[in-house]
Amino acid sequence: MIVGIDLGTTHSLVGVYEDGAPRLIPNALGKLLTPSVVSVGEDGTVLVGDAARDRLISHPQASVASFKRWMGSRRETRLGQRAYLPEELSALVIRSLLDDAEVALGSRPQEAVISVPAYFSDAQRRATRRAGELAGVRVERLINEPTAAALAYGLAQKLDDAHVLVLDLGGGTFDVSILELFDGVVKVHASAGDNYLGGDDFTEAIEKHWLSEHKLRVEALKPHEASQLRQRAEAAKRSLAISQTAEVALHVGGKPYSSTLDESVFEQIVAPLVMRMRAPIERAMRDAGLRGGDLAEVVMVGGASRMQQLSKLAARLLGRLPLRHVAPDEAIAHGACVAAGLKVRDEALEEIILTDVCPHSLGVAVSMELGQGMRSHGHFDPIIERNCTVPVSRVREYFPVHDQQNTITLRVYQGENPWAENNIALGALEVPVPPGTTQERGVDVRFTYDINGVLQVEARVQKTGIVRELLLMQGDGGLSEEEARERLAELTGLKTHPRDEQPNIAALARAERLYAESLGDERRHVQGLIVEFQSALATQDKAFVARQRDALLQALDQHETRSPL
Amino acid sequence: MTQSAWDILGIAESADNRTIRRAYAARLKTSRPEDDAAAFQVLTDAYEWAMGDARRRSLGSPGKPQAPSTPPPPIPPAGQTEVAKGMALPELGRALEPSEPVPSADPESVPSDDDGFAFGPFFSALADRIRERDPKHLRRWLDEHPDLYSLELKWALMPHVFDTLAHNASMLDPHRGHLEALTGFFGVDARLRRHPALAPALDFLERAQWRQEVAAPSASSMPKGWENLANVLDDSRQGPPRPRKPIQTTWAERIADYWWVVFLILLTIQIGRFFSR
Repeated sequence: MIVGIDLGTTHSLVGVYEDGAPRLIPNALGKLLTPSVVSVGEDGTVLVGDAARDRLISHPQASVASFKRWMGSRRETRLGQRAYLPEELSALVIRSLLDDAEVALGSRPQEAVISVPAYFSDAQRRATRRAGELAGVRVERLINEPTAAALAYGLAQKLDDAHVLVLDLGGGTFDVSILELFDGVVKVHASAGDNYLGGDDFTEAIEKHWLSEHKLRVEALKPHEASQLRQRAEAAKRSLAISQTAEVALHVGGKPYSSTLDESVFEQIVAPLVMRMRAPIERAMRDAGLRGGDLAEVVMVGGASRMQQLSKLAARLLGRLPLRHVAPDEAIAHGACVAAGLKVRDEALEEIILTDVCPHSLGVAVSMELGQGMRSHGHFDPIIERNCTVPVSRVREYFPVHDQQNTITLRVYQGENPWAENNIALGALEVPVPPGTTQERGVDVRFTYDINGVLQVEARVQKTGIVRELLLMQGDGGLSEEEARERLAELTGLKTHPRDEQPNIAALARAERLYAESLGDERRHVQGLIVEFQSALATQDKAFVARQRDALLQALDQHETRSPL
Repeated sequence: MTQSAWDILGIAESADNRTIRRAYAARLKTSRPEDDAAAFQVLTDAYEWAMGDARRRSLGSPGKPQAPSTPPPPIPPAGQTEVAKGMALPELGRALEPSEPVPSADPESVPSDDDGFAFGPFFSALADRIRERDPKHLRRWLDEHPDLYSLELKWALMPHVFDTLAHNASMLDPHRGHLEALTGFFGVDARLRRHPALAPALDFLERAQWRQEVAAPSASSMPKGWENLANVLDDSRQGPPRPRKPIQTTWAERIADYWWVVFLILLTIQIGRFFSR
């Protein structure tokens, strides 16, 4: 069984392709969206999802969110007894999704297609694959998020002969893709993006503004206060998408602070972020060779695309266009399911062919002759230009600089800057060259990039026929095979709560969060509710516990709407 | 033996867009990207070429690039040179080719819902900023310019801006920062930098500013080596860009290439110290 997984910065989803359509699978709480948050309980039990998100406030030291932003780095997060790599935290989220899928499908999925931001680098893609493997599933394919969204949307709308621009503003990443649909072909023309720009940055801008307004420093906040501020800013951002003003109120050090944020101020404080969204849209349009008028539709996906700033910007850049808001949180997951269906050649998808592009330019560093023996070094010379349809294989010829030179070092880079060192170094390859003049000692350098983003570099010395190869998928981010096995064993050994207890855990976590957030009488009231529910749990009478849980949730709902905070 | 793109697609030479796409789609079913990478690439390359060919044919210039547009006169008087929104610039990459023939800079071709954009006043304002303000300000001004949000206008404008700047370089003296602000704003990357519509102007502008930077500090008493360097750079302004010849050297080799520059800098510093004492 193969599933499609949308591993998001804020939320994750899982689903399958069946009966000619994608179907999303709910989690233990009956929700399709599982927050990508991990928390570790006092007893070492791992919590994922809503309960973990509530614990960000009540147990900020033992909980972590937004770790997708660290994928591809070795940044470790300490939770309880153990430090976790970003891919391990992602693996815990995937494992929880697989648990849900197992219940819904009757057997545990063995393979998965996972979506990643189109502009994710090689290292970030590798980390995502590892996350899948650590969760015990074979990652059959990584699909780019905007491609996934367009795939699901295009097929559902039966678009034909149409160019579609997808703007995907997620919690942590911004992606732009341009696709064309014709005769069953879904062809990506161009992808561009910013891996460090997302809804979270807008939330942070609100936080910073709020803090400076009240002359507070972020260091002065206790961990739970910082978490609360994050949540309030998040709520304000969401309400600004539909209304003109939003209130941010918070107790810091026991003192109440409050201020109102209106649309124009918000616009002002996020202006630099909006400006950063311009470049990727421009580049994708330019690479695809299209004008605003050529686009049949502009589709906006990702939770943060609800903000008006994105649609305003798109309209300004491209002229007036039909903007489509599809279920922004689910579109990518739907696409991941379709991609899973494609992978196993589902009958309904037999006629569909998807082609994608390599979003980055790949090349080597070269020296350029300026004349009269002067040279300029360190220029980037692309071999595979960005937005080539993949799989692709291209070759270019290079020569030594000096007649005395006996090796050529090919330094491989990924990026768009004309100076090699401003791009990302992927590796280096030494090629021996035979003696002779520079002109007769050419080396053919071939770059081959496959559909999974694996780059292979091959250098062939023309005169001697010597071949040197470099495979840039090898190694996995500094983890030795043994270390990877150990970490897998450790992760497998981590305890989780049985599925039928999860709603109780989540309810309790929410109550604890409200306890942490409130003061005085409100707080005592919540404490009473917690004690009552704990005594209900002690009876181990399932029906009774379920009734008590509903009552508790109702009381918490009331509490939350009543509370000014 | 090499098959033509038309053979690979299995269609008659000079078929139209629709036929090419249909043929590509049909053949893809047997050369899927996940099954047969080599066959897929052959097919896709043929397709991309055929589509490009069809586009060029529809522009009425089979396979041949159109003559480059004549450069505008130095600082055009306000309102005289109008760059219409949506104006086509021949051969600035497929990105800037229109999908159908568009008459060039004819004011009649301005879409009725758009106001014409006057290049003259725009360039004068740009020139003022290059003369008087720092690059950061220039970049902000460009970023916030309301007309330049429109992608079509921005792209149509780009080669004109660099061309006109090259024409007026001696008057405006744009330095590196200003150029970087402009290339940054227009998104000139490694690929676009090489484009025939941009490369000559940028080559000229970048070399000119480099010469200034090297020569300016010692303009009054130019040591011997500087003259040579200045000549080299002057020469390189003329004629086509030299072919790029790779590759790789070590740091030691780089230093060896420039030892005399380092030597002269040290010498200048020493002379300076001597006199300031």
